[in-house]
Amino acid sequence: MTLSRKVLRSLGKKLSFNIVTTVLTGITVTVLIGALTTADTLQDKTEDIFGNLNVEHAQFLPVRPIDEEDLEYYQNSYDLILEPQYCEDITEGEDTIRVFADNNKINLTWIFETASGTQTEVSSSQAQDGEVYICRKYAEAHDLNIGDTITAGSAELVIAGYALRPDYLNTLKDYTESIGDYEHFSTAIVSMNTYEDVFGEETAPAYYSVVYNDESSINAFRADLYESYTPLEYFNSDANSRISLVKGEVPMLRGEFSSYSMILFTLVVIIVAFMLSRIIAAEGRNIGTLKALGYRKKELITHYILYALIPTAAGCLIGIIGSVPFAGAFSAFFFNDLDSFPYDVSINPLYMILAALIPVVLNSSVTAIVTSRLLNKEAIALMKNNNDARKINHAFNGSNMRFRTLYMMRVLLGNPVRTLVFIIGMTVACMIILLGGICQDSQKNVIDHVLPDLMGDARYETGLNSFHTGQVANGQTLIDVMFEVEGDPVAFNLVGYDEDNTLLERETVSGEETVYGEYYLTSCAANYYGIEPGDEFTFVHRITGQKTTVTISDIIYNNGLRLLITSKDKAAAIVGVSPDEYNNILSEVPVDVPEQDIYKIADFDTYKDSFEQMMATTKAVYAILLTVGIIVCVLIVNLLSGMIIDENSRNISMLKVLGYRDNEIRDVILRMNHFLLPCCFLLSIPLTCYMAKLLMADSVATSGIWIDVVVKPETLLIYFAVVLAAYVISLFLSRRKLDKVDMAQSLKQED
Amino acid sequence: MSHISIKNISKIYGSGSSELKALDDVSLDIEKGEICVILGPSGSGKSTLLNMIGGLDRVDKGTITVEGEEITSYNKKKMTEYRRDKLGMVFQAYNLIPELNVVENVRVVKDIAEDPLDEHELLHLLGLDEHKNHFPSELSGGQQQRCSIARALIKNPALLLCDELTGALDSSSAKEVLKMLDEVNGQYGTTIIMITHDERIAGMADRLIRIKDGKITENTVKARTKVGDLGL
Repeated sequence: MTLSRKVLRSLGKKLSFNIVTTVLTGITVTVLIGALTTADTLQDKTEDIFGNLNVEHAQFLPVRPIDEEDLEYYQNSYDLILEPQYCEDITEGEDTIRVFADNNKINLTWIFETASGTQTEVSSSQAQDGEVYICRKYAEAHDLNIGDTITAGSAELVIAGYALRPDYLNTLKDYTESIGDYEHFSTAIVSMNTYEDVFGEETAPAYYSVVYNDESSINAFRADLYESYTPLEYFNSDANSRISLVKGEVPMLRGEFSSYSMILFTLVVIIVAFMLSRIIAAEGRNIGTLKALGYRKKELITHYILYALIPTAAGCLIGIIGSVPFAGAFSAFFFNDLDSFPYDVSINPLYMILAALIPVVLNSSVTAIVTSRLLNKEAIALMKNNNDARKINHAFNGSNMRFRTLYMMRVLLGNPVRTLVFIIGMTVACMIILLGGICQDSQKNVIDHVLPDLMGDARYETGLNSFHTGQVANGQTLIDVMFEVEGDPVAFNLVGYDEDNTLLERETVSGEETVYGEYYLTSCAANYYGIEPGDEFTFVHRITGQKTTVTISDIIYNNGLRLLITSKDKAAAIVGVSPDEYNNILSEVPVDVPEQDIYKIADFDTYKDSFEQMMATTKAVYAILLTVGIIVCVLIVNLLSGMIIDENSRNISMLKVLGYRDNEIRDVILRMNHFLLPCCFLLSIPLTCYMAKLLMADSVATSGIWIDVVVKPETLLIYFAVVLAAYVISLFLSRRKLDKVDMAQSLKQED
Repeated sequence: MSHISIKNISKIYGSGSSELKALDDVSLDIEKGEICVILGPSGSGKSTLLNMIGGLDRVDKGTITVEGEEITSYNKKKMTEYRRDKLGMVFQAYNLIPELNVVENVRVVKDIAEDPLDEHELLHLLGLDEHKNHFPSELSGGQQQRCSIARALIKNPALLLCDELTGALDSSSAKEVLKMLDEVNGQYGTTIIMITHDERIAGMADRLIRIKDGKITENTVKARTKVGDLGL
């Protein structure tokens, strides 16, 4: 249609609108498709790994090895698969290799690279005698290649390839870590024969893994197991960070990035609706003329939809093209926490179709509505339309304010919709820019204030693999057993302490002294479970399923650990052991306990390193947010400044004629939004804090740490400087447009 | 020395077959305190000439000297200072800032003037006392034009350029506005250059310039007729 040439020829005239719509749509589509694809890739690969390699549903450590007969009995009686897991650590200096005997039923081995090539498909394989399969990243860090040998005890083992176990997908040496340290830790998988050659034939299983075929038998099995083998620890895979951390990233990615994209896209729709309503309103005379010439309403709507369709479609196209490298890079970033095994990134075509359709349909609908409303007017009325007839705000009439201030106030108040769009746009941009800063402040606060209090005055926590009695030199003993709340697989620890314990943190939030024998939840647990002082708290034994209800007297400030703290005798009664027994030792120096009795040793540095590693992975996300926020800020300011210049071009021209200098005119026209900027920034602070709070609350299940939202004044200043810099850059870009306004415009007769 | 001295200026718009000679070798002198009326039909070049004197447009050839300074050699910055310090301009379309009321429109210029006149005195002189808090949209054409004149005069310019200032006014408003200009000229000694296609206004001029097809066809110094006798 000839008329559509008009739209094509006006693309340059409406450059700001076209650029803003294209770029924002493009960013939204790229980020959304990229994040969803990364989530899909992670989900597909982990489902393959967990499913094809039969990952455990739980693991436990009984007080003594389970007899062969009992193994058969449990499997037959409760419709489950039970397999002992054999592993031993070989430590040399800072490096630890955890050698596993290859399994036959649960936690099977995926050998993804051998001398003969790489295997992309996840399938189980068996290790051959005399061979070992290690993590590829560890091999790379130590310059080890396939065919090299490593020493395990007295044996020399040939590295036959790289492999992973599903229960070590996140290859964490200890549960307290969040990210695998491949430089110093690797799993190594060998055949059972080789394992026995290295560690002897009489080695006991390190623990047992179970896969339930019938979930209804879980509780009965646990109770039966407890009767005979009294396991101290029972880990659901949901509570096992080596398995659950990766699983948790999928909904986090989907949730977070869907929210960010929705916010961005809402902003795009608001801007498009606002801009189009102005563009089309300014076209009133043309619309009236075309109507008079016999154009139908439908034809005119179709014509004006092109104004939105072209930049939106361009944005969708750019977004879809951009999403391919973005999805690859984003997936690589998330897979970087794991060993470097092969995976394929493929974008779901449905995302592309939806990404292409939704923005186009929404923006076209907005245009259709705006045009349709205008077309309801008579042709004569439209043709008489005076584009320059603006509503003038008469605020502060008679006041002695300076002309520049008065002019600014009246222009702002005279166009409340534009002012509102600026406020919404800049507030969103500030939120996106600030979010990373506030999250990083909150995480730093954990390192500076939460982690040091995590273990009270203790520096070491030594977990034992069974209950013991007697004194420990330099240590204060505890009962420490995991429990869970019914229906929530995330566990907490019941801690029983002696009255004279001086190392366990017991400072309450209320400031009241703790009373020995009463029950206290740490703030991390209280926040997670939503418990207040005075509330009843019901929990279940993870093995027996027995329920216990206690009344919480107060909350102990500790955002790092989910603990229920009480006296040793009360804890012993719940756990079912003697008050003289203990299985955990707090100390200021390492305690002298036989190595075979130790289940874990945690120290402050371990927690700190682990948390710092977790922070490092989030930095890339915050960098993306910061970049997007700055782009949004520049685009919004540029668009609205351009609009102000267009609206005021006659006045600008007149000021030039009257002898106003360029910088004085810029000061009058471009400073309109100066005072709105800090308002938007201030408005964004509570909104960003609320958003950060939601994000931090989401992360507690995986990180185990309740992160309070903390904002440092210096961070606000730095990020305000960033916003200000983006704003100044946008104004600088707008200057050219203002300087180009011709003086001759004021000489022209008004239409 | 003449207040304004124009020597052989030419201005061509477009090029090739679409070339239009707006001014063709125009020369003239205007003395200080004169009311100079430039008459001519549409497209004769009178607006181009006014724009050149006002520094809104550049000559292709020739020179314009104002108070001994050759403004045609000025750069953009110096030209801004020239308009700022020496010039007042009044337009047919008034070009008042719609967001500002009468007194505020006048203050727009007062704010940047070195030695401004008293705004109350000026508004009183122009009969705008009662309307000083009215916005342009609330004023008649004549009142808007008087406001436009007040804005131009507040900085007490040496030179006032008026582009078809009565073009959009009815005859009684036109007479009123011209009377004001006459008074201003008398009170402040302002040199006034008016372009118009209304022959009747020519009567109030000290100097009458006729222009046609970019050339001056008449340059006459004559006795002024009272505004009341112009036959408006």
